Amino acid sequence: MKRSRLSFVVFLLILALPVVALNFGGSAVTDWIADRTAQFVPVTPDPIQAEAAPQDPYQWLNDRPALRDVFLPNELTQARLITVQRIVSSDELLNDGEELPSGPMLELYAAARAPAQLAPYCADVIASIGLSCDVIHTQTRQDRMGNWILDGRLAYLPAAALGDPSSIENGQLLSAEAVLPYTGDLRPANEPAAREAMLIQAQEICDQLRGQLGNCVLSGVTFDLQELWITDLEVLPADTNPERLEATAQFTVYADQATLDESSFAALVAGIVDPG
Amino acid sequence: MTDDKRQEDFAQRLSRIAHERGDAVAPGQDAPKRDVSDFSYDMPGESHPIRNGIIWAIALAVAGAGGYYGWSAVPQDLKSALAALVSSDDSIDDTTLLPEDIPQTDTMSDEGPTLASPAVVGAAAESLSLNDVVTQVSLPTENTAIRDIIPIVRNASCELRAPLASEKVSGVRIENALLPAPLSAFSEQQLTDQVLQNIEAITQGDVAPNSAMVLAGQKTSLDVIVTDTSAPLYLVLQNMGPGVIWNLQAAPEVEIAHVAVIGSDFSGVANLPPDTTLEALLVGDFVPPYQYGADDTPRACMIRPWRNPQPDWIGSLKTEAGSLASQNQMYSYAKGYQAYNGWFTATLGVDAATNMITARDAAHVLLGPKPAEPLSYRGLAGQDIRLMEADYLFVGDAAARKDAAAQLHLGLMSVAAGGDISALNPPALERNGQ
Repeated sequence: MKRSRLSFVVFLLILALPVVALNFGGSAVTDWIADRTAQFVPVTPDPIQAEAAPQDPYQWLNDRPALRDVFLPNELTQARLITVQRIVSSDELLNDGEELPSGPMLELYAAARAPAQLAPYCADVIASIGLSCDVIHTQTRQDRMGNWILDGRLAYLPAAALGDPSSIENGQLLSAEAVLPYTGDLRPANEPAAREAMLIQAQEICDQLRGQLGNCVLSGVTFDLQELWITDLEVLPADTNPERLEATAQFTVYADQATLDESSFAALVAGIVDPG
Repeated sequence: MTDDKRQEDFAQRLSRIAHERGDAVAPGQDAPKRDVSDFSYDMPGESHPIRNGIIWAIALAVAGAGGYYGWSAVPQDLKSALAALVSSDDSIDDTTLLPEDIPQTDTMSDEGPTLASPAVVGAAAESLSLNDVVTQVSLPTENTAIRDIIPIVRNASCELRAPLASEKVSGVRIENALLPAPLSAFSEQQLTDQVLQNIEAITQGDVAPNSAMVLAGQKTSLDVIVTDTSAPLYLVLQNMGPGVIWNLQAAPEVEIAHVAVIGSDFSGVANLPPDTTLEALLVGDFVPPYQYGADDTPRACMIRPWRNPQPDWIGSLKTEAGSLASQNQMYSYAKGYQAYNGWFTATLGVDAATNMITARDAAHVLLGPKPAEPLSYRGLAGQDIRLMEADYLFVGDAAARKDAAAQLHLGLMSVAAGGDISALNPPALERNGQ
């Protein structure tokens, strides 16, 4: 009796197996079947193409979209960004001799002039870590004081060597962020020299990572602008340097996944950023 | 009793043992053997209704689940083909279809009837063509030459003149008019919104300035053929889409006492009879731009002219079939209409559905009975057009209007950028000044 019940259960399982497999893993099963039943078509080499095709030095990267934007050394991409912020008054948006426009037009002025207002930040990048820099995205909003907050993203070409990811076997992209340490009681002032120093500080950390892992890209530096206020409602007097910077750097490496994962990479970065 | 041969053998062994011991043989032991077999089909079987029921239930559940998921996995086009095999085209019952299987037609959309020229929308059930009601038709184009634009000063409040007791309130409520009109108009706010959108497309999306970035402000037109002679008419002409030039075509005996235009965009009237008074309300003067749910609550000055969903709208059919998206859309229409009707009834003293011709899209509307003899068509050519005052107005050749609007946009974008439009996307900075 027990045997017959067992047989019946086995029968039901056999009945249900293809139903479950086709409905819950249909594409995988059909792909597997198609793969197994596909006719083999031999590839004949194209003699013209074989002779004419030039060697692309970045073919290895071009074949790997996930790595391409990070490691391609000769193209501005969205994978290597410096994020900056600037706060300006409405008057600072105007050219010499221009009059302040009305409300809706002022919003147009802020949006249209943000790229030019943020372009000088590219000079910091060129002076420190970049061969080329472009303002690729800007956004504006007005704060409660009536000033305009201009947010920008700068794409850059790294001046430093990035290492050779093609030498890594069984690799994976890993990223980790770290707030850059500073000395003294106050964060660095929002000045070109301070920004350049922070960019160089971030690049030096990346250089150390490359020394250990064979490659590293400084994939992002975000400058958070913080205004110093006497109280929540009262800003410091003008010319008392109220703007301070906090920089967060993001490092990306292509590493053997058998030896490094997200958490161990984050720990490695943290150890380099703050050895104490 | 059983015919099992093994029991028969066992009984014989017991009988033999008893015989060897000298025991009396039990009666019937010497009875001739019956034909027995290991498997017999004519033996009475035991009944197991619960067990069998469970087995059948499991088997049917497995088959049902498999069928359900299997049908779900079948591509939609194959499903439609299979459905077409088992049903004839003439006997499709909309209530049994999946929501996505209920198609919009050439004349019925999710949001109601859409009737292109020459169809005439009227109150009567019979379908009418333009030639049934007018002759010598000369439909407007984007380049039709008009005489003059006479600005209408929009009402400063959301009030309209109250209809007199002798007047009959009647009108049209649509979303879009399907005939072109030879003019363009927009406001300063619309222009700055569009230019801001263009600037952000360039500074955030790396898009080059192009012609698609220009706000056209193109207006449309619709023929309102009026044959109702039952009373002096108080016409309320309402739409929710791009601005409409309502081209009035009144029959000789018709008296149009007053026209009230309610539009979401700059609208106007052509061929207005000489003694007819005119008022205009621009929705944006009193109601903020539409957001889902914003018009659900009746309130003062809720003048956005929603239409009440009807059972034959495809959206209503989809709602019945279980479409949540259509349910939300129809709910929005119904609540919006209730709120609008509250204002309409309080302002004009009649329900918003009274004597009202409605459609989503239309080119020609008939207010009143079909005329005994077709009327003479009055086009826009050479006519004055009364139009709500707008900050920017363009008339004349369509291409010239587009060019003028494009220059206006580019000029404003350039001023906003500080005089040089290339400042919107400055070149990359290179090390060594390259």
